[in-house]
Amino acid sequence: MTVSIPKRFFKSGFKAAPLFLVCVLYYVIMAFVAPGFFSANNSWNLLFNMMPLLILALGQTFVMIGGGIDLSVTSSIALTSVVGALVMTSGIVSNPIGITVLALLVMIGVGGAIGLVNGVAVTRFKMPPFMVTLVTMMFFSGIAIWLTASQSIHDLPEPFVNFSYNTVLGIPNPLLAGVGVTLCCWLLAQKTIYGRWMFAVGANPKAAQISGVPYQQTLVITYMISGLCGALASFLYTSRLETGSPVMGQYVLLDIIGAVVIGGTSLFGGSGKMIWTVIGTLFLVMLDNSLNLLGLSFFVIMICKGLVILIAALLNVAAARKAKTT
Amino acid sequence: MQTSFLQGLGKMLLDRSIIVLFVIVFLVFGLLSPQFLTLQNLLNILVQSATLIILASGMTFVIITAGIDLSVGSIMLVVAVISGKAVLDYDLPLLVVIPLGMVLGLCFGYLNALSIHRLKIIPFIATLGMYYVARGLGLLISETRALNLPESYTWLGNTPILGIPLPVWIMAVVVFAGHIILSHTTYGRQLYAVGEDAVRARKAGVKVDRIIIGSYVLCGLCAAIASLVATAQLGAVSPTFGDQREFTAIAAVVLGGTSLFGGTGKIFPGTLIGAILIQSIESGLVMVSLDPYLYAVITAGILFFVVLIDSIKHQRQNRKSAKPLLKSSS
Amino acid sequence: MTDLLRCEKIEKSFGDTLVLHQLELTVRKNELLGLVGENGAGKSTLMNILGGILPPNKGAMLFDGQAYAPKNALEATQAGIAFIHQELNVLNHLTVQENLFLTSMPTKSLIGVRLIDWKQLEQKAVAILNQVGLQCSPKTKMKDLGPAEKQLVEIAKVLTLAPKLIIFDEPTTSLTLKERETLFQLIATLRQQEISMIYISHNLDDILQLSDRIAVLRDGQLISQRAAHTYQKESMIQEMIGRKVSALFPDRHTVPSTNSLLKVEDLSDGVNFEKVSFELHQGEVLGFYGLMGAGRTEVMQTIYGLTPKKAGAVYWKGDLKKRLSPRLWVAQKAAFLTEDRRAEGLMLDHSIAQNIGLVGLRKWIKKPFGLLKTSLLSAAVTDVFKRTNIKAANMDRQEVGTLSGGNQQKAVIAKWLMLQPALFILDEPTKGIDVGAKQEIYQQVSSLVDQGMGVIFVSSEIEVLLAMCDRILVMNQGRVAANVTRADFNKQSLVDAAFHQTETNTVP
Repeated sequence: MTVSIPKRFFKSGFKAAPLFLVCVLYYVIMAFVAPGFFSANNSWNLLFNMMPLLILALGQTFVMIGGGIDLSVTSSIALTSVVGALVMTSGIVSNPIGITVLALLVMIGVGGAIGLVNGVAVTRFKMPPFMVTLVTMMFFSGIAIWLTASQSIHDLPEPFVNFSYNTVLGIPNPLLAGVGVTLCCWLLAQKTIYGRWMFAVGANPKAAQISGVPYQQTLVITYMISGLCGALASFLYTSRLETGSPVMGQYVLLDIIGAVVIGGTSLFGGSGKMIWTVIGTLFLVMLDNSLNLLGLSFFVIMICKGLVILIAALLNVAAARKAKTT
Repeated sequence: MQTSFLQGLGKMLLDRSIIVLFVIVFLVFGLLSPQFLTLQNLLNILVQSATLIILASGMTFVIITAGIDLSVGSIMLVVAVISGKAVLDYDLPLLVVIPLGMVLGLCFGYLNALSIHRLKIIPFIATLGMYYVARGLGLLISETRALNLPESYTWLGNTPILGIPLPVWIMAVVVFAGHIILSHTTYGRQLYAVGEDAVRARKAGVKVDRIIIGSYVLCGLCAAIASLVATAQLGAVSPTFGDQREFTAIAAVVLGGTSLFGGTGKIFPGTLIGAILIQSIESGLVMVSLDPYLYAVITAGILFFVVLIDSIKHQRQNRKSAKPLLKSSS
Repeated sequence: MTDLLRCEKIEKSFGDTLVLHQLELTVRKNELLGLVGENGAGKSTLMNILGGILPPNKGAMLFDGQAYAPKNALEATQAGIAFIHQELNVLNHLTVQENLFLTSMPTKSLIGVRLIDWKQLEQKAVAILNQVGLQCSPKTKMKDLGPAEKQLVEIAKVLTLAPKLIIFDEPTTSLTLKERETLFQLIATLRQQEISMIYISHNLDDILQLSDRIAVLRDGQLISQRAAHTYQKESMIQEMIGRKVSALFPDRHTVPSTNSLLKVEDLSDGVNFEKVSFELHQGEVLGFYGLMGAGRTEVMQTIYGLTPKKAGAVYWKGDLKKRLSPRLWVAQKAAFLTEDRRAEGLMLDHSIAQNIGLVGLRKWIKKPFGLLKTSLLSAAVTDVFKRTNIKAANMDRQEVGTLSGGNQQKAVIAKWLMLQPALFILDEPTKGIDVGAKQEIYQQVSSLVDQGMGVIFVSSEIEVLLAMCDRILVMNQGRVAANVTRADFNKQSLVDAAFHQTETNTVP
């Protein structure tokens, strides 16, 4: 009996159920250890803060199921933040709501375009995904900094700044956005033909191609989704910080990949679930929040998260190896 | 005839992309800025590129194994901060500080190697984790303050021997040693074997683990040496020290003809020229007084171009390795 | 003559499957033992045990008078057993001499640093290359050699270890007829040097020609082991499969219609084949026969749009198709079972149901969002799963990678049946699968053809093609060498057409 638990644990590839238990356990322990952790206010904050990261991690999940990785997503955050803010302060539309919507559309366009560049480079030219996205990260972050001469952009329109604090039917907008995106991602991955194709391409690109799957388009779309998610998250971040910043999201990459990998999505492509990523994100946000409350410095937290991700990657590899031998 | 000539030209340009780029860079900057092609400036470029060449030499070993090390910039920071602290706060002599820094680099390289070969984590994830761990550690120890190093340390960076600054000598030693290891030792030849196909190399009796560990350890060591040289040259360690140096190092290596797909490449002359070229571009951009915010964009653009060429070459080679069956059609 | 190697009651099982059962095998000093058996008879397991890669569950081995139980490949090599594998294990970016002495390079010390002694390395390399009769500079890059030369380098590499027993595993598959002769000459030289050999091959003529003794394996047991001259080809086959060959095949009694399904005119890819033309009708089985590497697979891949064509035209039901791609063919209901099912046919760590339900998904989508009608889809998958008779406990849970080779192949067929194909291209469909599954696949093909489907059947086994096909095309060195209809089938002439080497072609 005692042997069977870890066996199943590995067989299922470090999947949702045990991770969820770890989350609950961690929450309970921290409720005793970290001052102020177990309060309605903090728990609410936790959920609230989790949303942009969740959106980013969901986008990344698509790319990783397709067998790639998107390191450039931080640059889509920064660039869309800057571009969005520039649009909003340009005054080309006088209506404040109108200009906010226009900015959102432009941001989505930019995010999608970055994804398109990544996707085309990976599929058409067969460049290694991590190299491509590393380079585009540098490139688009550089553009964001150049556009603003490394300055932040303030004085954003009222409806935009209020977006994060307004509610619909008592539910805050960011939460609504997060849940909405999660639902869309889940539907797309599990219930559509596109989802099937994505898993197939991630599992065996050659077999998928021969089976008539439009594998290049499928892959390009995964990168575009990641770019779009970058834009949406950037919208939330920018609204909350009330500034458009070219260094926005600088440190969030680790959290994104961490959340997906902790969730158990394979680094080798072909397997993963949106719900795993949700739980992975939850865990990471709790870790961050509790370490903060324990009064640890930013850099110690950075080291801790780096280690947690290495451990998750390790379990990921162990699961892949286990799957091969059985 | 016409098309085959064009094809031949295209192939030649692809194979010699670095020389083409070299010519373009020197032509463009030479035309834009008359000082660029002066002997003094070329010497300056060589001195400035010393750290990059050292760093990229280490990276070459790793990339030949088809691996990657994203943590070298962070290792540079940690080494710089700890050795800087050792000089400033504990007043240790250079004879202690320098070996200490090098051992630190070895250790970080070894940690990378462990998580890659023993724990089987993909190189870029493992070293990305190390990127954060090492950078966090460096910032923690320095408390994100800049360290200003004393004269007793910085003389290393600008003392000339036989009229040539010490960093250039160190660089020369590293390049020479690296070249000898790659081309004239059993380890070096086995490194290429592992890079081409680790499974086949193992079947042929190569101890693949040792080869891979060695490459990351050497990479860590080179990062440490680069860090010591750079701190001596700059005289200060800022919190952003070494940041994004991994990109320029990778760019230099790939530009120098080492394939990201492993199994090919050389430190001399490949990586050496690649690094000098990158430094030339950077210094050329300064001379034509371009907006400094664009440097990163341009470096990224070049790196993209270089990786693109590498990938196209790799694909072409794969196609060529399929042996043609038709023998008669002349 | 004394025994060099003796295996006594070797047993090996993986999980519940017994792979080797009370196996006895002897190799005498200075003899060449031919080893034959079907795929899955236990040859490779036995070789892995000899090579120290797998330990036996029971039994003992005696090598050169001493107990022999290697823990790893290195110990096997040290004991004096060396392998020449079917797949060449060479490193293309290194030179010949570096490949030969990769782990034992001669070095000289220079101020305490051990550097490679290039001079000595070259001398040693030249000596060993002379021994195998390979005339090339040891400084040649490995990638510049042809397959036969690479194989000679491999044999030379093995000779540097001074082996007592060399095991050849299908060494001739990628060689031309002429290269094969060179190899056989070398084998003769090795025999004079008193090296024992085990020679594994599916080419029974080679086995009969080369061997002193022959051992036949079936279902993990030694069926017979005696002097080579006591065997005939037919009896050997019967011992290998334990039943008459003809019982394998279904009766083909339908006649092809005259409706053209696929027509290919002067197709060339510029590298592997040229001017290939043929026409396939509805209800017809067209065989493609030829040696490995004759260009058959490449023709199929080009037709299916996986590799670019250089010249020629492909017509589908009379219409010219200019842009060939898998998507086009899937839309036209043309299926392609590739040679390498693990790399190109299946998603090994996905479930059987997921694999089957990959092709023809467009049929099951609801407009406009592309949501899948999952219940209808899974009903269709279940239907095909049952029809193809895949032996698996649970098609939704069990990963395809855990199935046996035969059942994996059935899963690939099931996947394509979801299309209800009008054309099925089968590239070596029975490669590496057991006899029972073969029989089922032949049945399946036959019944599909009865329903009017056209089939292209690529195979290296002439008996299979003779039994299954309405017409056979023979390919030789990238060209169609013969095109014969069922009435004119003649085994000898077909085989001759495939093997015939046009010597003028080999001279550049």
